[in-house]
Amino acid sequence: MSSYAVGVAGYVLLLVLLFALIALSHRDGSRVARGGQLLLSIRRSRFGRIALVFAWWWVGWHLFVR
Amino acid sequence: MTRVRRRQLLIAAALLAAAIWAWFGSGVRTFTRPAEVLTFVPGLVVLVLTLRPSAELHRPPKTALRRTSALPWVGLAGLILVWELTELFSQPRAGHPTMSSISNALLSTRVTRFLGYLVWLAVGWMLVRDLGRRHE
Repeated sequence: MSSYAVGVAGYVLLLVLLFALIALSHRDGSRVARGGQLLLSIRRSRFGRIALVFAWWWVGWHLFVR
Repeated sequence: MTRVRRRQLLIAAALLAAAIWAWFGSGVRTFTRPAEVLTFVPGLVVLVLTLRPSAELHRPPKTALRRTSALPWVGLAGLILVWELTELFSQPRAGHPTMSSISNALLSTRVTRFLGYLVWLAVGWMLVRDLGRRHE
């Protein structure tokens, strides 16, 4: 297996973990916070809202400008 | 014109404007001034809307969020960071993909770039759409 394939496989595994965590968080009585709850918690503070805006802005800059 | 109808027209106009902006934003070459402007302006608009004094989040929590419930997400973010840095600092660079190189490949056509830009604009709108509005 080439190093490139190993790299991609790593990201695929992380994606699988992400979906597993989302599924786990949506189960009844789950002790894992849902993604939406987490984002809401971050957005409650002014600093959190501004940080999310800059993170979103940076992603756009990175994808479409640089 | 009724209020509902006026609101529908406003939404349609906003969607059309976003699509046109995304079409141009996704069509310019990277590392150019037009690319910078077309990405900077939406960011500035979202930032200004977020910085308004009235831009508070008025949504009551359905249940209190325990800090330990966020730990799995922190763990996953840590794993992603470790993997990304491992790939970034591995040699040869061409043999080790990063999220950046993968996204470049995914956004290499005009259509995928347009859709990606549209998604990016949609996320920006979601960051500000409920600020200042009171929820029951």
